[in-house]
Amino acid sequence: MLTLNMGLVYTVINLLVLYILMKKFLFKPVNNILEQRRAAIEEEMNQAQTLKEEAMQLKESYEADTKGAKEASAGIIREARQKADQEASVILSQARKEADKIRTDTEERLKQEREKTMRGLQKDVADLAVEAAEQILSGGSRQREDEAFYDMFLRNAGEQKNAVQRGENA
Amino acid sequence: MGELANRLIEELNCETAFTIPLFGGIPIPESVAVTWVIMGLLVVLSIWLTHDLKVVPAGKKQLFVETAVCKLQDMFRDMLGEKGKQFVPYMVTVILYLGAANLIGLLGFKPPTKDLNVTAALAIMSIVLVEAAGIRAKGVKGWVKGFAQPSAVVAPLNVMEIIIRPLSLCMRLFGNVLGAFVVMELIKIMIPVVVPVPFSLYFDVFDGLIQAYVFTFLTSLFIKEAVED
Repeated sequence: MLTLNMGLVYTVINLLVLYILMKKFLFKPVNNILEQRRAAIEEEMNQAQTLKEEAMQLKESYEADTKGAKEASAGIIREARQKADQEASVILSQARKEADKIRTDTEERLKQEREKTMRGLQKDVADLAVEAAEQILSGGSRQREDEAFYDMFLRNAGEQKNAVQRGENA
Repeated sequence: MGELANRLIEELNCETAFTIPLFGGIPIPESVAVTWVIMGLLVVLSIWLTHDLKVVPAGKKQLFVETAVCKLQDMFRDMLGEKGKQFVPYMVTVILYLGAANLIGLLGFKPPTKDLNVTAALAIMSIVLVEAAGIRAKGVKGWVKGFAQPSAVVAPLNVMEIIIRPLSLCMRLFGNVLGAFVVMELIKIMIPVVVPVPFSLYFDVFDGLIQAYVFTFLTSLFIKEAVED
């Protein structure tokens, strides 16, 4: 029962043959299919990765485009506002200048008018004085004529003064 | 009891299954004939399981064969380590053979592992593989030096291990299968109905698979030890 015989050698041969057969019929096909699957999965993953990268690139470019458009529109608005501001300030300064000019002109003209009036009045006063002097020199009843003369002078002078005041108020 | 002893001895005898009428007749032991049956079964099963594998798995059959092969390969890859991974297919073959051999008793065949010749052949192949792997990994010089590791004092023990290891592998497997067989025979003679079923599950199925695992596990361990340092 516990004897070693040729069965040992046969078993060794059997096992070696079984090893070769198992390798050929079991391990090779199974490992082949596993390897193929691994390769397929890797390829799919790579493809997915490239697709993802492409999508990201597209997204980035779209985002850049949108950003550019936004910036451009903001720039346009800014420019327009600047231009409007400039124009407004130009118009405003022009208007101010014109107003100033009108004022100075008016002042000037008023001054001139006043001076003219003054000159006219001075001349009138001088004329009156001359006239009075002539009447005095030409004689007549002294007392009464003197009084009448004063009255006339004062009236005339008062009228003149009022006229000057009116001219200044105007 | 004398009858029982005779029956056991009869059961234990390795009969010659048949004789090939060549070169004056080559006797073929029963264990070798059963091994052929097992080989045939394994090959047919492999071909049937793998004949229409697809990249995208279709069906439970492919799932089963892939899972089984992957699990076994991963198990031995872990045991053998990175340097010993070329021995994975051999170890898987041996565990499949031993598993089938220990279970084939259920089909009414005599388990080949009950024949000392078979377990001895397996053990001799294991030790040849272990030493060959060691020589391949370290060179003859490194392999010889390995006997004096970790200290020269243990060198005789290490040399003895060349004999002890296969002997223990061979005897453990043979003894377990033989023991299980004897216990089962005894139970069957004592109480032939119902009771043998759970015992058979343990001794024939569980113990058989455990022994297949232990044998390959130890061989893998020795190979790993031989190729790594």
